[in-house]
Amino acid sequence: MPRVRTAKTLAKRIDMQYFTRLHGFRRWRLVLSIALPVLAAGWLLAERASGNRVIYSSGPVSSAHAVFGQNCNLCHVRGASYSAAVPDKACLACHNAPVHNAHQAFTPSCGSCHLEHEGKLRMAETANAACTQCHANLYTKEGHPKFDSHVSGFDRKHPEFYPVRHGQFDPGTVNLNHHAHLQPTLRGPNGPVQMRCEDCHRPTGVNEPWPYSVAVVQPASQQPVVVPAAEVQQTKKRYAEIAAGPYMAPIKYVNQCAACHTLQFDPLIPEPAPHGKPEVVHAFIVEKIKQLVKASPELVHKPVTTGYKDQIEATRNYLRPALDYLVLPTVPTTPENWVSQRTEIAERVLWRKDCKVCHSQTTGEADKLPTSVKAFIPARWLADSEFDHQAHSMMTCESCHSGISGSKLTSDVNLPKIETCRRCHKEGGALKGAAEGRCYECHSYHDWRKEQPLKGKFDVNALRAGS
Amino acid sequence: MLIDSTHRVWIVGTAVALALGTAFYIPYALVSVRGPQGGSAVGIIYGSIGSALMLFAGLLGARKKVPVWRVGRATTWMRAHLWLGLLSFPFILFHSGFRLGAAPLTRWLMVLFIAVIVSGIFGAVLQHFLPRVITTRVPMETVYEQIDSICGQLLVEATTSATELWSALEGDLEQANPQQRAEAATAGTKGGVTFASAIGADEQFATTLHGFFDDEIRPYLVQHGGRGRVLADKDRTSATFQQFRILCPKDFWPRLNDLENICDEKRQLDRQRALHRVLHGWLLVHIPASYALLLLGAVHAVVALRY
Repeated sequence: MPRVRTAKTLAKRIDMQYFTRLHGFRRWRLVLSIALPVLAAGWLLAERASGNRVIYSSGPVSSAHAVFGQNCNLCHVRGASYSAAVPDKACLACHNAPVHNAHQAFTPSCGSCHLEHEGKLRMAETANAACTQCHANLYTKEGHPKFDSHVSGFDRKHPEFYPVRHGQFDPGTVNLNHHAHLQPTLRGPNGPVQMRCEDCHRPTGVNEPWPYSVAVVQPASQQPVVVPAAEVQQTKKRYAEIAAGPYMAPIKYVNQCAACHTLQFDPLIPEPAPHGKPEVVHAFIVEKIKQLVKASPELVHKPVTTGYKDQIEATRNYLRPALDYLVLPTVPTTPENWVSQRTEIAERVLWRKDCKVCHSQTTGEADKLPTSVKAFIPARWLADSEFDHQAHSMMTCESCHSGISGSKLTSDVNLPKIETCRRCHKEGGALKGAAEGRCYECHSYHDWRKEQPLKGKFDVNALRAGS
Repeated sequence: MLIDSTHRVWIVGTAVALALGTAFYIPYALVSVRGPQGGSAVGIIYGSIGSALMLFAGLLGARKKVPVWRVGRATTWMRAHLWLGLLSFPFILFHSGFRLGAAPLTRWLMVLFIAVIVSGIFGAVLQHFLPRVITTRVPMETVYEQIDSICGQLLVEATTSATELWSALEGDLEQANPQQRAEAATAGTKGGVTFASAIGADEQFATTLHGFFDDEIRPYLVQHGGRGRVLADKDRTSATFQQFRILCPKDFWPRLNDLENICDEKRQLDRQRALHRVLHGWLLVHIPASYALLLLGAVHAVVALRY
């Protein structure tokens, strides 16, 4: 009989109990549906048994906190509630972080700015939003903020640097003409020189001798001052890698000026006068002239001015003004009179010419010493931000301080404008093929000048518990 | 389930919810100090919404276990599973800040979640055209779980048909007289088709068919898929059986046709099996991964809310 395929024959082929048995596909589905959750649960249990809590961590901790290992409870302090979020007091147990500003209206929690569990990032590298949450619309508890109230980022809305804003000038009172000092035919202590920026401006921590220090012409009289880095660091740098020489060493007469602008006051006395207060200078001169006349009593019988003008002229050959006012004394009759006249001549040279080259001063009355105006050379221009010259040492000074070769006035502010910085520094940093442009690059939230010494509370066992 | 106009309400609802979630997320991501974080208040809200949606999508499995409960129509549940499950993905991404997660637990959660979502989307897309393909290409479609059983029955039917065919052929030979046997030695051409003389062909054909059944038909019916076999190819099968018809007296053609039809049905069932695996194979990823996801997600929620 040929095969007949009807609905009835087809129905008869069906195994009516097929659903009571698991077919291969359904069996696999069931097996996998059980196996995968069981595998997951087994994984969690195995990790728990081995004491590994890393699987629950939202990410690896920063390098600074890696020493804690898996001792989560050091930071995650469980309070009365279920939550074991990190309280500020857990951070302050190890970090004495000074407050930002006494007038700030809002103090964020440590963890809201410093992101932990983000891997080997430096936690000081905070997001811009940590700053702009206040500075984008700044207000203080009382009064008006002294800073720009609407700063939203370095690229977007950031005020021009305060010193270079319109109408600002250098408050320094020491006369300086950068243009003149950068001329190629400048006369130095040993002949013509071409000065360079680094002859006077160097980051702190550089121990090379200054080329125009007092040591060049007078090693024994005044030792060049090596300015320690700490002296100019008004805010504490938290970064070890830029601890040496972020700022320029302050200008000191003995370091940068003395070789050319000597304070020699008498051709017979090789030592120059000290660079100090007039009273100190006066006492030094009187003492030295007394010593001179004591060593050579025959000088009392000679005119004070013999050879004086020419010798001084030869010594200070860079001084152009005529020295006619030096010719005045008569032949003294007593050592005291000789000392007095010689001192008067020496001080005229200093007060009326040498000091005035740089200092504005009020000439005293006949029996009084002059008074110099305080130099007031700013040690740091941008007191509320940080700049690392060492980090920019691959660049020429003129690339940022572009107007320096034409600057003739002391009052010229020769800081670069913010646009100069923006050419390299952009928000997004390396992601935008640029240098870092976030707030923390220049600004520090904590006022580290107010940092207090911290007393440790952990021993090694407590620190490494669970690791 | 086909996504058609009956899904309009769900599509609109999902789009509106997604738009709202996005509208809140953008300013949150731009303004928040730390960037979008799962542990922030907003992040926890997004995570809670996403988890609730995932949990609801997971309830479909429980709903299927109790089909008689009056808790909504199955199609409604399926639509909710589809759209709310899909909606949970962007909400979880908003929760995580579009990060995969640095810790092993969160990373595995995202891997599982992506596996669940991708397999689900894959399955939903397949549902749109594969059933039609099965209907077209597998006219003899049967219950998937019955395929093995029916293949066994096809083997029985084929064996029966083949045995009957051999019996008939062998019976004819026994009854043939010497003249017929002599005539069987001759062959001729009729209408351009070469025919063997009936009795002579029967003897040779019975042997050939016997060998063919043992070497090809039986193994093919036993083997899953029949890959590489002559009978797995429809054209080659037709050609083979056409040759048999040439060699076989016309009286036996119905049984040959039966054998060919059995092979054809087996081929269709193999095709159904393959298509079914594609159509439902994603469930082997989707369902187990969903269970593991719900388990690890619960652990993640408990731990994350604490720390």
